[in-house]
Amino acid sequence: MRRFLRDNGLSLVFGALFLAALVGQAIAGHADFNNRQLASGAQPEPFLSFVASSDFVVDVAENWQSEYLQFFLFIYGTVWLVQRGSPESKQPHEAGAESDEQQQLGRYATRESPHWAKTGGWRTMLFSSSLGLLMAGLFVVSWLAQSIAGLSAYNADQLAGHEAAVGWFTYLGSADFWNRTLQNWQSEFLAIGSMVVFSIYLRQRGSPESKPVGAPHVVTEESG
Amino acid sequence: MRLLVTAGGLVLCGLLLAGCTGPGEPDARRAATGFLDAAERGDREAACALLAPRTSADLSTSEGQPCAEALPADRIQPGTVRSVQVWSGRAQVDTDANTMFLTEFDDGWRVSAAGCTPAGESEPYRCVVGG
Repeated sequence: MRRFLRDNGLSLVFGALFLAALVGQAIAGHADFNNRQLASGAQPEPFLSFVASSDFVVDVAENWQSEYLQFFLFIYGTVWLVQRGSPESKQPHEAGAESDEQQQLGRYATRESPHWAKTGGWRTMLFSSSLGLLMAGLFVVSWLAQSIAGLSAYNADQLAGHEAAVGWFTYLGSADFWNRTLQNWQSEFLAIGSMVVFSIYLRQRGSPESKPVGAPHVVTEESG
Repeated sequence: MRLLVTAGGLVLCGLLLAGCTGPGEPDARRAATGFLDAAERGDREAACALLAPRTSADLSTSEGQPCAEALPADRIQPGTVRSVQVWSGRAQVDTDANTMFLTEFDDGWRVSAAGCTPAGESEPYRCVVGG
């Protein structure tokens, strides 16, 4: 048990932090939602009813979509784009999908390589992009969830203010949808850009996200 | 990994479903029709009983008399309900005469505004009651 915890500490700690933050968001969001309900002459909603509501779902989904977009773009972007001096980047001459030998594919696969890395054909092609595709898929589904829940929450606000409800396509072009979307995108892009640039010049001893403390600023793709 | 993907898929499906409009259209339609019928036959007590508490209180305060005396029932045009849209505890009911807005409470739907007509793009409707 102790070994399992040690071997999976990163996943377990961030999984626990995610759940704790989600519960915290639900509690704070519920209080905020009920304040707005009372201010608009409606009745407060029970906690579970709020958690299943479009108001909570849109707030969750708008953050999820931007996180998965960030990882999708970072995973695909770092195949082709480099940043000299950053441990997040490959060496400039390695830009691209790299050779089968470098990627341990086909006849270069080892005995421990995943089965789909050895088989060739569509399975290897799919497995070669599986991480990016999953992130892209989760981004699309989360963004779709944001648009649907956002429509419901937006229309409820419209009706509360005695304004007409709108359809999904109208909502996709609305300021509310793009404000929710872009305010999350900008923060994700800032975070990625900051990490890439700061890690050229700054160090965190022992972290694989950082170069070794004594590594020169010009060294690329090295972690410690 | 497979378990993680399945769990993620289930959560996202739940998110998608939760974003959809809920049930309640028949109840909202019934409340709107009940209000219009009461107003048409001049039964202000019954019409006021179908108003949202805030709307009823605002009407009484602005007119300085109880809702049943303040309600301008004769200015609320009767009509047949053409469409009902329900979004997260709020409803828009369009009749062939004008529009009503309703809010859902524990004891059913109540009219928060009635006799409403569009006032222009991005403007709230102008309403005879609750405007």
